[in-house]
Amino acid sequence: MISIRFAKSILEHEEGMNHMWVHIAPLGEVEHATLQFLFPAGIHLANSIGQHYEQDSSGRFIIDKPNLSYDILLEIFTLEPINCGELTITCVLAFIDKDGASNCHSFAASIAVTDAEEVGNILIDEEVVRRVKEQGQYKGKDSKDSILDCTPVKIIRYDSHYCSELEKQYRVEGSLLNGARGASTQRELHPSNQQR
Amino acid sequence: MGIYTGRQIAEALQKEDPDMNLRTVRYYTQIGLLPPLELAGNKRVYTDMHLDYFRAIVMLSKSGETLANIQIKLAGLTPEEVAKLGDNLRFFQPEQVLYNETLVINDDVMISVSPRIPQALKTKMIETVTKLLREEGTR
Repeated sequence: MISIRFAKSILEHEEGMNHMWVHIAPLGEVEHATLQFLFPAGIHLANSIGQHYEQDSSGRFIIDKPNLSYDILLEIFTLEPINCGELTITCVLAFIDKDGASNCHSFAASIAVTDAEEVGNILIDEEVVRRVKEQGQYKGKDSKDSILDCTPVKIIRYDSHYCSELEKQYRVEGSLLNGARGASTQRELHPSNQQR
Repeated sequence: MGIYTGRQIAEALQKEDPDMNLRTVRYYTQIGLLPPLELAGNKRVYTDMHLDYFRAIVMLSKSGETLANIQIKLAGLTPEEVAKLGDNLRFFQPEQVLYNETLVINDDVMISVSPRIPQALKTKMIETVTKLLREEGTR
């Protein structure tokens, strides 16, 4: 019914990051299907990357089309040091079946939390990593950056070849003579200045 | 060549992007976004090249690229080109985007000017660059 895979086989006990790919097989003729995650203390769920998942007010993910398969990619992380060892993340799937009965199923996923300084060989799940890399950088609606600033960039265009009328009329082009500035320039007559 | 720990890399990057952190540095390393780390004694360390890669990754991700596309793009660049990419990171700082004026002299030349620059100096800069471009165009 549900499979849970991690991008890497461990999570650092401090300042660690990982991704969980949760795949739910089609549930059939059910309604009000939701998914809830319960994390041990110290493991946090980041705003979902790349796409917005519909959630209810309790943070449960809403499976709006339970007759289709459903995939969620979640970023989890640690901040302050937590105890090392095998920790369990619980995934609770709830729905109303076609007989109107409430169903609730729990699934557990274990992750090895290790000391960040003593991480040895890490096993990488390339399929999960592929999905992580293909996600965009969307941070989620409750991100601190959620206010979308549409202030137009101030662009001021200058035409380097633009000459005002006065400049066209009085422009002096040429080289300086004898190192003197300004007055002793060899003047190339601009067409508008040519004497007839 | 400088060598760094992951924490030092994170601290260096945080000066340009406050959202960067140690866990992201570690993670990007572990999922293969960077060239292999160097060995210093029996420890694996980051170098200036890795710092350049991180800056380029952050810059490209701020421009909306996925990590997959970023990895493909960087694979086709020399280390010098990667370093140059990272130098553009400053243009994606929020203060830069929100408050600076972008003076577009032509398709090849744009100047980003902070509001702290007085108007008179701004005008002089524009005139000077415009003049340089004209002189170049008449050669």
